[in-house]
Amino acid sequence: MNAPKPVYFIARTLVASLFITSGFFKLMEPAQNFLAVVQSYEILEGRSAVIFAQSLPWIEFIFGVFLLLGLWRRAAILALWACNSFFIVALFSAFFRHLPIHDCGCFGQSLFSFSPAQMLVNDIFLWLVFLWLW
Amino acid sequence: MQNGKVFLTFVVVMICVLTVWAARRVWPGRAKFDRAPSAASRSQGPPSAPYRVVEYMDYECRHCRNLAALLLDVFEKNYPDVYLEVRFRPFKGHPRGMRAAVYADCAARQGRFWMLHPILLEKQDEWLSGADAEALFRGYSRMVRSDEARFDACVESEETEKGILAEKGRAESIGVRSTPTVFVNEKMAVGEAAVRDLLAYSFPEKKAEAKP
Repeated sequence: MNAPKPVYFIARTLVASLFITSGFFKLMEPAQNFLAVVQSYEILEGRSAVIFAQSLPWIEFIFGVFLLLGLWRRAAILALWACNSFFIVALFSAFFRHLPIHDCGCFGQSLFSFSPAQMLVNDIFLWLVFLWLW
Repeated sequence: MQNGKVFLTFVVVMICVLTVWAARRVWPGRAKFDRAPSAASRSQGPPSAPYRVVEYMDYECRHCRNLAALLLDVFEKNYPDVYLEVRFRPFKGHPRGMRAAVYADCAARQGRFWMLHPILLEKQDEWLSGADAEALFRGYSRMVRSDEARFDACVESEETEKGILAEKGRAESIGVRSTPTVFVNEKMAVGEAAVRDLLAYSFPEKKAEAKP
């Protein structure tokens, strides 16, 4: 799809900023806080939950910066799109299992607060934006 | 061209790492864990014990209730090597949890915290669903308080609540955002599963298996 360059640039900048913000705020919190969020989704546990909780904020932050700068653009889109797809699966799963999650934990716990249902809608929209950016 | 891109990638990654490292040093919520006993009347065991177990909790939190028996079990099995302290981190949307903390704090001022604390947790369902939680709190505290007039003045005082809010602020300054959060010395665990893991790891001979 051929999009006008300024529109593509703005969309890319917004998506990159979203992931940079999300990763940065998680990195500013003690890692155990995000680990608790990961465990509350009851998908990963034990060592895999720890590795995921420690690496995801860095992936979001660094690939977000790559996407912002246009460095390894396709790889950055792919990495962040994969994260976004995982979030959608996790949120759907939490939604259908009626897990008692009141805050999705997507931006750490210090800035924005979204319910899983709100974030699911946002993430599906973001998934479509990634499809367009690709 | 490719070498230049790889070098640029390296530089960008290093800048990202340094930015996070620098930001963490000034970011609120990254203060060092406060080892000083801030609520001595809510603690058990010698303050000089090699293991300092500090729990940040909210009385409306069900996972905190689930962990109460385990924490006491760990304390009893490892005494006198463990110092156990309870600090309050009530949530804004939990007014009954806040009132429970006020009653518990007033009991602590009369040296009766460890009598009221387990009652408040055991009866959590009752006062969460009851129409008049305040009457229930008064009923529980009647069983444990020693000086009735002083206790009533304490629970009515705005200062008690202010003190708990200040404690909550101190908790947030070290990154405590949710409950239960437990520190064993400087090691932090958030959430029931992680706390169970941390206690099992820290006290391996005394299996952390007590269930609510």
